Amino acid sequence: MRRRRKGIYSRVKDKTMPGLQTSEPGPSTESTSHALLGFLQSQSQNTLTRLYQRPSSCLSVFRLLGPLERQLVMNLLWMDSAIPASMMSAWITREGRKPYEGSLSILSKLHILPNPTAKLALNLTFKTSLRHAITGGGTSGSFGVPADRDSKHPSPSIEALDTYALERWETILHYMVSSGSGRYPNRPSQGVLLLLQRSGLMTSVQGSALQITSSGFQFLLHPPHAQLWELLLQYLHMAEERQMDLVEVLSFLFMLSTMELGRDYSVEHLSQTQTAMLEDLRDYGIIWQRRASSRRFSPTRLATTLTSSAPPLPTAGGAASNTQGQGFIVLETNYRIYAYTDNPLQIAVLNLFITMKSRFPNLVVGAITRESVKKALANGITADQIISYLTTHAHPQMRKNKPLLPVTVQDQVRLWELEKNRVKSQEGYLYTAFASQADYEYVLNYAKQLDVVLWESAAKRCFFGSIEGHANIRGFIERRTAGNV
Amino acid sequence: MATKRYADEGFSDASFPSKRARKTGDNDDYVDVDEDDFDGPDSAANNSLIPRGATINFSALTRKLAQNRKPNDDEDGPEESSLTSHRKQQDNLVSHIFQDQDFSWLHLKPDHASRPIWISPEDGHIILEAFSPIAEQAQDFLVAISEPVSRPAFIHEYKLTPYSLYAAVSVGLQTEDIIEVLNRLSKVPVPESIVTFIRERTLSYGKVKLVLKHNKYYVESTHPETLQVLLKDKVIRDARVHSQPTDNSIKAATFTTSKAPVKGNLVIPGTKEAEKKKDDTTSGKQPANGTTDAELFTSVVGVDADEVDEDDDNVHAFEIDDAKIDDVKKRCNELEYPMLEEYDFRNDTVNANLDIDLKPSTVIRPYQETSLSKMFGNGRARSGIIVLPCGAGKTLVGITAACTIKKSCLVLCTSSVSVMQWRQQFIQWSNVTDKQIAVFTADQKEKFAGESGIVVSTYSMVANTHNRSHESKKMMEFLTSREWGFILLDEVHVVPAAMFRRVVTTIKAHSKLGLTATLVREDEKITDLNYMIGPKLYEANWMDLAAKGHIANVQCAEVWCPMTPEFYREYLREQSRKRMLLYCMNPKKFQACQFLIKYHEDRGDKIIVFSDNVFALEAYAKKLGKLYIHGGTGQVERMRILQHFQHSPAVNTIFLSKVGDTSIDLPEATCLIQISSHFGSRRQEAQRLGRILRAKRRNDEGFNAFFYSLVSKDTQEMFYSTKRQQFLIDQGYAFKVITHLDGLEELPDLVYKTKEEQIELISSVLLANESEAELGTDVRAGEGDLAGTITSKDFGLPTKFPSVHRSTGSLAALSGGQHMSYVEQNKSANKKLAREAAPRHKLFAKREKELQTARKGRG
Amino acid sequence: MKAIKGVLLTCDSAVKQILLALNEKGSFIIEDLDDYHVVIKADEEWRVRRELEAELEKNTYSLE
Repeated sequence: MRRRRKGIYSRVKDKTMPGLQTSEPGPSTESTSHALLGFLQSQSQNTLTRLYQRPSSCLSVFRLLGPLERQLVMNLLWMDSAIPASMMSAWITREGRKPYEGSLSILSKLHILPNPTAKLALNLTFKTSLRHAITGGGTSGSFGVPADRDSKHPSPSIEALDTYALERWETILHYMVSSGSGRYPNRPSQGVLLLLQRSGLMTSVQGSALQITSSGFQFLLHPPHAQLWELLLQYLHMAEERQMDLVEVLSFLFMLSTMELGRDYSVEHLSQTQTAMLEDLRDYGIIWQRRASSRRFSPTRLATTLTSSAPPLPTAGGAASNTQGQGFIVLETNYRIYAYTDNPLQIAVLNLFITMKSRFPNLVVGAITRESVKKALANGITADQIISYLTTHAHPQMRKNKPLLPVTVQDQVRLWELEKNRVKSQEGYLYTAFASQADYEYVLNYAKQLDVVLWESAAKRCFFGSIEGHANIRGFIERRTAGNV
Repeated sequence: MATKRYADEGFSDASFPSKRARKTGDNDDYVDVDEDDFDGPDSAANNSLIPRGATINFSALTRKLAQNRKPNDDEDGPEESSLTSHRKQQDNLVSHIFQDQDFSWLHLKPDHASRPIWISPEDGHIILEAFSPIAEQAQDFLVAISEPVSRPAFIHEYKLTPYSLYAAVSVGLQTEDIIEVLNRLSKVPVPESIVTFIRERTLSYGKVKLVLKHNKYYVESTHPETLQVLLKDKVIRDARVHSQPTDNSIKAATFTTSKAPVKGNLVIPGTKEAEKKKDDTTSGKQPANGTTDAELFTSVVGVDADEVDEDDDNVHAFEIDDAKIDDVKKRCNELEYPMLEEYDFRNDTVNANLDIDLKPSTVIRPYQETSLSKMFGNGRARSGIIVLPCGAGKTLVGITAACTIKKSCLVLCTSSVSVMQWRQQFIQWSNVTDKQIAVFTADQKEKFAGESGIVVSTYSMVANTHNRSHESKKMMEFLTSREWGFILLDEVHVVPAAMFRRVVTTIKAHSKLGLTATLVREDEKITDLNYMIGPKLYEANWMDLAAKGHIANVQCAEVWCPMTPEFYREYLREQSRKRMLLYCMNPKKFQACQFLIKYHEDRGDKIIVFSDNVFALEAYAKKLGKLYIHGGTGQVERMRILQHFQHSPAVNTIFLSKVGDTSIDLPEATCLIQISSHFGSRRQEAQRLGRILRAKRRNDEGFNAFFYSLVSKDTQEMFYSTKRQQFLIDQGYAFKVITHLDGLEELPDLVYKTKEEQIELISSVLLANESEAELGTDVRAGEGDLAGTITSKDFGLPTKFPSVHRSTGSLAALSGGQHMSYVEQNKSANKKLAREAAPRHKLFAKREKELQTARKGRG
Repeated sequence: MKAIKGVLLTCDSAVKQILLALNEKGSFIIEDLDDYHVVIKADEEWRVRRELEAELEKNTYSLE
């Protein structure tokens, strides 16, 4: 097998050294569309239309859209009549054609733009609601109903809410990262544990304690916003199974995302489904309530940033936790890592792929080693994920570098990954000793139709077929032998 | 869903005592630096119980104390916020990762952001933010008190060791200054363990000096009580010379007291200061930006960095008998008071001055000046070692030192080639006359004329005690009968300890300076060097020198050459040393080498290919039609090849064996390719890189030198290659892995392209003797040269060298006539060159002429 | 015609050579197909992988 190692060496010719491989930039997560949009696209037109009845939902969906989709929606929002598709496409440059068509397709699947091939007009419900959201009209209470002032219990400060959210959220992540380490972190609620299990982030082998899975490890390296939505998507799937009204669930999440941080909202106007959700949302740290029976609730930063690009976790607090927002990791050409952090969770996550050496009040020192990377790879973390994590959290000093991370270290991490994959094994059967060339070709052709041939050699007159195809091939040969008789 | 959380887990904080003590109570930011804390003579005896060289091992006690202090804090403090307790709980989950390296309990100073270092209480590791505005000054300080561990782009690491503190003290830093400056630089208060360590070490180190003044030996100290301690010892007391009548003072002994030496008006030639003096201009201030940096440093650190160097206490001394010097030195070591050696050359009226100076045109670079200022900081010559990378001008540092001391000087180097180079450099940079400088090698035994002068020789010539010729004996008498002001020791890292000891004890010298490029920590020898020469006075930062253009920028790459299936099969079967031959001779490596040579020749580079294995060296050079030099190459041929490489546009590549590791200076080279090397030697790797650091073209804009290591994939070579790179990686070099050379397959005339050729190659390898796999077989000690200059292991087993040139072609020829052309190709390019008449190397030609004239004169 | 159950290993040529060398010590190869493919006994796969790993590990230098 000729191994074409994509990403390790490229054929770009370097000006100074011959045939040097240039590292690919980290995987771009920016351009991919929001995880929730895929889920929405899979919903029925009926569900979506019901959802679009609420202005807060429309605003939220609008915020989740890509820039081009947003522009198209804005162009059409104040049109009273549809415009012919041909007219719109006349505006599109040749290079813009592809993204444009992509955007139309997304909007169509979301039923925001029904039937975009003929003429372009927004779904009427969506249009009305979004107009309401922007102009402030409507009385549906879809943006939540603020609670009256309570003199006995003043609403919690933003700082207190942040602390609460951080604590809840970190408890979940820390529980994941510590599983199997012999350490016993605080355990999140049963609801959260079920969610982690159902989403495949953690698993329990034969009733044993929950263990993190390889997708769980990958999850830990994701930015908080993505992590939150990964869990919420799973929550949505489970809501469907539990026969909760999906529109109610979604619209509540969207409502939360448009609320104001530091304000109390009343539970009076929530539907039954939404009231039932309060407990789960408390567990995730998305909302705060004084008591479970409290008639009011406060959204935390996790909630109010659900559909925005603002960081979902507080950027102030603890001695060095201001590093959360900006980069805090210095990676040197000698594979040493210096991470400016005092956050145990960040340290625990770094420990997934770094050999830790020492720790100071605001700094941890470690190194990327073959062992540490091998351990990470064995846990299912990929080289790209490691590099992308380090890139995302690179210390401002590192920004002077071009490229950001030392190329030699990036290459080495990728090479360690390749090292792991030097042997591929596939179970199956070697078909050999055919009586004639014709026999061989006959059976081989059949196997090829089944698409189970993994290796073949006419010269040796044999081929290797995957295990899946064996029963069929055997049957085929037996029929043929029987036929011959 | 459960509403009960946290409560029933049963893992309360108490079961995991936190190591964190954010608030260490009233133990405020700064360590108390108590002058009265000086333990005095009595405790010195106790301290001697601590074995010399004991590494810092911060007793777990201090940490435990810090932990125990914590609960009190909690009681004092108000109810913890839930976040705090949450964090604390989480903290327990990660703390175990670091084991005893969790120092998060250290208290961060409020203004930590403007301070650039952290200090580990456990092992004295210091971590420096190299991007701090005061990093440069901090580095100057740290390099004086600690060992640099790694110095890449952003964060550097240093380590406090007993030796580094010894060195710090020897350049004049005082205990309390070290602690004070460290504390000011540090984000966390200097841990008590470190304060104790520094006190303990500096208490015993550097307090006593051995001074040769007016040709009398004095034991000198700024601390009279220390001298009292020493005098309680019988050996030392007996060695004391009572030169003056004892008065009846209360003290049992009195000492001669004088003002401590200061640098005063001593000017190191070639420095800016010297320039200024010459120009007779008024004392110009430092350039503006220099001052602002220094001011910034002072404002944060609070101590003027220069002040630290100077001690202005009185010094006390007693005279000792020169016959008992060795006993006293030994005894002082045993008492944990090793004596620093300093030479007050300006007051030496007994030994004749040597009237030499740097030429007016010679200007030394700032870092050379810095290193010399460590040596001459108090106006005397301190003995010690200066570490500068290859190509950074070690020789000039040595010459400048000699020109500062202006006394008779003995220079020792590793080979006769270096002897010639040193002599030539002395003449180039200084105004030393031909009569004042003599060489002592196997071929030439000269003495200088007059009372004072310079002798350049090799370690072996001076240290060998047996089989001396009559002439050598006479020469040795000349060397041992006189007092030397200064002994210069080149490449100290390659000299075996025993040889060193002999040199140092047979030659009477007032001051010693060791020079080296790589004091790599794999050498246990460092310990010996510390006591035989003196502490490390200075160690340059490679990246810094490269950034400032003093040495070339180098791109390093490791090229992975897959083994062909045939070669790999044999490699796996072979258990003997021939494995090495198999990975050296890998056809893919041949091809990579050919490709890189072509690529860089086309760019206009001059290329050196290194191979420790002589069999491979010859095979490659012949196959690729290039000139080569190994131990078996005669002197005349060697010089001819080097000259062609330097001057002929037709010769852009030469192959060198281990003989090229040291002593051949080729500033034309801009690209280096390694095809075989000495196992995992980090020092050899650094030395090889050094071959191109002095590249003539280094100051051309955008110039890069190139350093390639060709390694055969999936062989032991991969292991060694990674190991070899560690030293350079810690200096900030990055090795790029190249898994594929673009365009290699399209190279016209690619060697060993067909399977047949490859198989032929492997049969020649398999037929070769196992001994061919040895490395460095060609390096044999010529008379007076050090053998195998890379390791102390002597590779110079008697081999067939110089013998007939082995040729891989001969095997091919034997196997059949159809390969005639192949044989033809493999004809040594050396032989072709030999046919052309070429003048001798200038240096040697000139030397020969001089010798002839001299002989005539004498005759 | 024969059908032999086994595991198809796809690898680079160096690994292939190591496999052949290991096979000399304890046979597990059913059929050597070409430079990059070999069929081995299914129940030997784990052992072979472990020994291969050990062989390759010899060539790596670890900082720690």
